[in-house]
Amino acid sequence: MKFRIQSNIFSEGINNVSRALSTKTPMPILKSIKIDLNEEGIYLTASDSTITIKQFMPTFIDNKQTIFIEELGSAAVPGRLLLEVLRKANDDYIEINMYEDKYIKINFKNSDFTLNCLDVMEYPNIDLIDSNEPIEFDSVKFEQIIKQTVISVSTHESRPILTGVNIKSNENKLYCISTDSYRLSEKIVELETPIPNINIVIPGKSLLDLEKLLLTNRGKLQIHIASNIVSFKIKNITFQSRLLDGNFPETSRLIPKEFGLQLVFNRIELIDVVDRVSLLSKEGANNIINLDIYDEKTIISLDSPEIGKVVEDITPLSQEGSLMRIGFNSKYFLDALKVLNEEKVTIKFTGEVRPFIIRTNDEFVTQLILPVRIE
Amino acid sequence: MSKIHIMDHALANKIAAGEVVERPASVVKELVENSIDANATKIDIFLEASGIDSIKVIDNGFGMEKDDAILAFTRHATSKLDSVDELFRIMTLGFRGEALPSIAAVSDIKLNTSNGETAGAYVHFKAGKLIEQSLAASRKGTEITVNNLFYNTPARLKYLKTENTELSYSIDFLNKIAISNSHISFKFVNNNRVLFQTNGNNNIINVLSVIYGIEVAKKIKVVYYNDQFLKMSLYFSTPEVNRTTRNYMTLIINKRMIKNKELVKAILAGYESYLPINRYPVVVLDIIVDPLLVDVNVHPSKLEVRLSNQEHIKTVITNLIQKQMKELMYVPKVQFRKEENINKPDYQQQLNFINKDNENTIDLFKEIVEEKNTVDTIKEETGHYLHEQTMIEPLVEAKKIPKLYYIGQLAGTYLLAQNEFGLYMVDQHAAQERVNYEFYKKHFSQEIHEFYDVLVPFTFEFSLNEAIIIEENIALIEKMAIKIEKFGLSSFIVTKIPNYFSKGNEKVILDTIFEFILKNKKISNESIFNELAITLSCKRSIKANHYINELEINQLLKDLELCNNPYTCPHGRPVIIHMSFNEIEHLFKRTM
Repeated sequence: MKFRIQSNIFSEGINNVSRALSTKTPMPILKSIKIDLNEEGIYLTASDSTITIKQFMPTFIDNKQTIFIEELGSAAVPGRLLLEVLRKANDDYIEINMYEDKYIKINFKNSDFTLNCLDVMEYPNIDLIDSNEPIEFDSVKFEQIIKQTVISVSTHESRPILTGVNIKSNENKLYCISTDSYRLSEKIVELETPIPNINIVIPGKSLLDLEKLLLTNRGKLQIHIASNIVSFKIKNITFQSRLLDGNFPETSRLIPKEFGLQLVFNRIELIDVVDRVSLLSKEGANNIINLDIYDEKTIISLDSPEIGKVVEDITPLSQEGSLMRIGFNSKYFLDALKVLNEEKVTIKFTGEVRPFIIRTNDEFVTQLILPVRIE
Repeated sequence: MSKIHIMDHALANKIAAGEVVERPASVVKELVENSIDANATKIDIFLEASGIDSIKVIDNGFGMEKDDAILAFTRHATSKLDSVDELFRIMTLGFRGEALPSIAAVSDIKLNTSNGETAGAYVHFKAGKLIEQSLAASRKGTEITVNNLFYNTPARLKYLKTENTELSYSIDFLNKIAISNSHISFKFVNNNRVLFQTNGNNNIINVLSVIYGIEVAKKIKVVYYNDQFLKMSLYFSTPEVNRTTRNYMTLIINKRMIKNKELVKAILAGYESYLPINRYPVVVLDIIVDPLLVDVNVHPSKLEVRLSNQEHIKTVITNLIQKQMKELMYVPKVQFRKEENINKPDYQQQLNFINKDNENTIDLFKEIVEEKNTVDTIKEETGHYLHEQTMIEPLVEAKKIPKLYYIGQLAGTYLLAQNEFGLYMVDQHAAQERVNYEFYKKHFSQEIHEFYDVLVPFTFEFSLNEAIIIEENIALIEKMAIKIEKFGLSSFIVTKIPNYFSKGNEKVILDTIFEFILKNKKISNESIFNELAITLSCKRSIKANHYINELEINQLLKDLELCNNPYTCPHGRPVIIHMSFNEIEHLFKRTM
């Protein structure tokens, strides 16, 4: 294998796939990025046990040649090292040359690197799935879905199914739900065309990786779903993740429908107040803030016997109903407020011991938080 | 002819001997107890071949007259008891009148006795038959020699263990009898070698120093207690002196050495969380109560007693020890092995404890130390002198640990910290265990609980019999603000959990709680929270050999400073070890 390539294109590709590189793995080969060179261009592949990212870089972009091929072939190159070398590369073009099947030479300007490679034949064969009826999304929209649901994903493996986001369809609606059993996020997406029934759980970690990838790669996103795999395609990149096994709990009845008390706040103002008040919270037991809701005024307070206490009041923009005291985890509240985009948020309460929800004008997003009860 | 007839005396005595006289140590026990009951203040015990060949006990008690000397060998003959009424206020060790005839039935026994006023008597029994009697010198006291024990019961003789083992039984008994009778001077000799000698000056610590060694005796504290029911002297070791067996706990009630599981439990409850797991303290519990409240006539060995106000005594013991332990909270101090020449003053000190008129004391003591070691190795394979050699001793009796400034981590296990007093080593696992233990204990005992009705219940599967146990304990579980409901035949769902359960670990914590309940089945309410806190604190703690970052370390040290007892982990191992600048400078020979 021998080729010359524009360095920015190559680094971008390597950078994209490197998100899937394993750091801890019983298979050392998975610390490598696989490079396959054929007439049409270069395929880069990286994978850990959960996700696989594959990127195609064509020889010609808009009829302009970016890769100059001398000899076809494949190689498994140490991923992290390759990434670091390319980041420091100070030339427009880079020359890659594999020899004796185990060394790869990287040349640019006056530099000459030789890296030891693993046997490319050892690299596992990872099938990328392709379905006839992919779901299509605008990538920015999907980024939002991830952002607004992934906050409620459980980060602990004790109940694996809760570490993912449940995505299921019902006619032309897509429900995206996550919960760690103390809070719940739900985003409903209306689709232009009905899709076949799906009900999958995507690991939260995979979605966070995908979100990062989508930040730099925007456009039309295709979602392909197979029995235990989901595959996202954006431009020339395929991001594939394993799905979580098991039944996601039925959550529809958890979201209250009727509310006795509704408050509308300026979102940023509310975030500021809660942020200040939770300065006195302690990770672990003492992160409970209390809301005392009176007519015209809401008092937010935190009392931590070992640290101290803080009280601050905030006036809602509008209010229906009054008089209630409710306590909850300030972190959950802040997480939810921060991922909502609108200027105003509405907090809807059913009762002091019932979960409450946070909504915006976008009726399709619901953030639900469980109060702490005292007995 | 009738088939049933009364068995002859010799046979009856042999059968009785089977109960009372099992081995040389039983003979030693009976004879020494007789001497004690005779108000002796000096008792010498001489064994040949660990007592298999010969046992000789010489006392200076009140002795017997000639007629009594013969009568003593008759069954149920006793000077200690006149009426049924007296049986209920027994202060003497023996009273059944079985010992001498039983021993005489299986040996060759010679008795020399005198009350010091009239002429002494000499009697000689063989296999229970009187074969010789005469007058003897009138030296006050009794000398009794038992030769050829079990010579006429070969089966018994055959099943005696090795000399060393038989000797260990006698030593074990004499150790304890010496402790329980510190007012009597004992001298114990086997094969012409003095094994130990006490001075009879009524000081239990002195006796302990002879028996368990000077180092142990130094760490024995004593506390007294008096109320209308009892008078108690409690000698107890500081937690760093501990042993692998319960054998070092001596219970004495009304000068009688006894066994009582409940009192032992009370002692251990007092040491709870101060002693490493499966280690036991050195304790002498000396109680005087109204003899009416003690029933010793439970078993011929008279080791078991029934106590009428046992619960009261138990509470007193546990509270006393707990209080002492709290006051003793200490940071163990590193002490380096002293060289030989530094050891000498110790011998000097030891000498003070025994009769000064004995000229061979130094040799004697060497012998004692050696002998004691061999005896202990006989008794147990594992060396339980380990803890003496770990060289830890209390430094200060401080309530809280001083402010520590973190230096670094050693081997991913110990945190090094310093302040103006020197270097501190903190076992990170033990430290976190302590922090977690107090965390859980505090929350378990809370009256007000913060809790969540979780959105997604936790499910648990049990086997059918486990499910029954869990169901029985639902009320107990609900006390922890956990709501558990039966869900199908043997599954349960938990719908409510307290806020202090760390998020993401709820299932592990709940699992631990259920496992604990299944393992302990019948649990009393008070004990469960403590035990559970110990179990949870261990499971939820960082292990040794684990690197933690500086932020976590500082948090850990801060949490530790806030603990009620930062010095030991819930299992009783030390958390902090201190090395003063003096010691460090001494090691570098900056100060000589």
